[in-house]
Amino acid sequence: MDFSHSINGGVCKIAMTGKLMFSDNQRFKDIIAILRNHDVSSIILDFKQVEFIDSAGLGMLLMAREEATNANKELVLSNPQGQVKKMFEITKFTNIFIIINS
Amino acid sequence: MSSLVPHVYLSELPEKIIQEDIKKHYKVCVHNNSSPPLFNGEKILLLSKFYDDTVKKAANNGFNKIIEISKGSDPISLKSLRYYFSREDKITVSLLSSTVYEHNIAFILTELIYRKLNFSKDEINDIKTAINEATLNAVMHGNLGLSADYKDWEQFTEFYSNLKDGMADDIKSRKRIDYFVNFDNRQVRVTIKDQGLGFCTSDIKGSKKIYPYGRGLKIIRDCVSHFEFSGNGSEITLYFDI
Repeated sequence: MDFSHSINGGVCKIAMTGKLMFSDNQRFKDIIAILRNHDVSSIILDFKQVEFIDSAGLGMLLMAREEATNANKELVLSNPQGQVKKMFEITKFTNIFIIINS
Repeated sequence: MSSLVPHVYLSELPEKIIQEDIKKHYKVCVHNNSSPPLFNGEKILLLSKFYDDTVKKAANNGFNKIIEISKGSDPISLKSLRYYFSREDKITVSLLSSTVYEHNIAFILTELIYRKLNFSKDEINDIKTAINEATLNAVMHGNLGLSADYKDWEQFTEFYSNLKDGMADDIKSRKRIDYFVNFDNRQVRVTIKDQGLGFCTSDIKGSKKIYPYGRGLKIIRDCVSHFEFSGNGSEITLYFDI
């Protein structure tokens, strides 16, 4: 997994690419750092270019959500496709997260 | 050469003392990275990184041919895997935990399955997802004996550190994951077997609380035609129908 981020008017958008799997946890740690350190009200994690996620990747999203809630920030997931979209549905992430299509 | 004379094909000759031991069960050959011939009715084991104890166990399980598929420093030769998958309907691949951890085995196996049976793109994603989840369970909970009960990033970091320690441990990282892949007309069956202690499968229960762990089996259930545990929970078989 790789990612880039941009900040615009209190919203941080993080666009990920590739796969989000257990082995990506050290890279995801950088997303956690952004979440902790940037003074924004919302973080959008964009999945448009993410082709695969596993249960550990889903766990990382839940931990990111916890971090965001503790920092009084909102975490939004956007544009899941294919396998990622199915994983969000199977695990009822659709009830846990705000998921948008933009 | 008779088809049923048991052979072990290694990428290089082991120490003489080990050779003598293996010779009790097999004719020892060096394959020089070319694929040894196959004959009908043989039970074949493809092996990443040879260890003598594995060969002895294989002898007890009636394998006619053991072929080490390591190539140089690469523990798995994709070319070899493609060759055997294209010719066989029952394939056993035995990999070290460290190899499984460092390589994307679920993706490799799924590619090999796709070459053989024409699953749709969605079905292929399901196969990849289910094998990957079963593999994560086999390595982390089975062979390394780790319990994933992290609730926040700090606890997850500790879990990751324990996993890296496990992978650096000579004994734990040499425990194997065996994949038995069985093609049958319009179905593929994949058994994933670890060398851990297993677990009581009747203890599996869902939780209404939202934790960052514990979704693997739920995901598997939604991606397979059906699945079953055996061997004390250290073995799971996934069935995929076209």
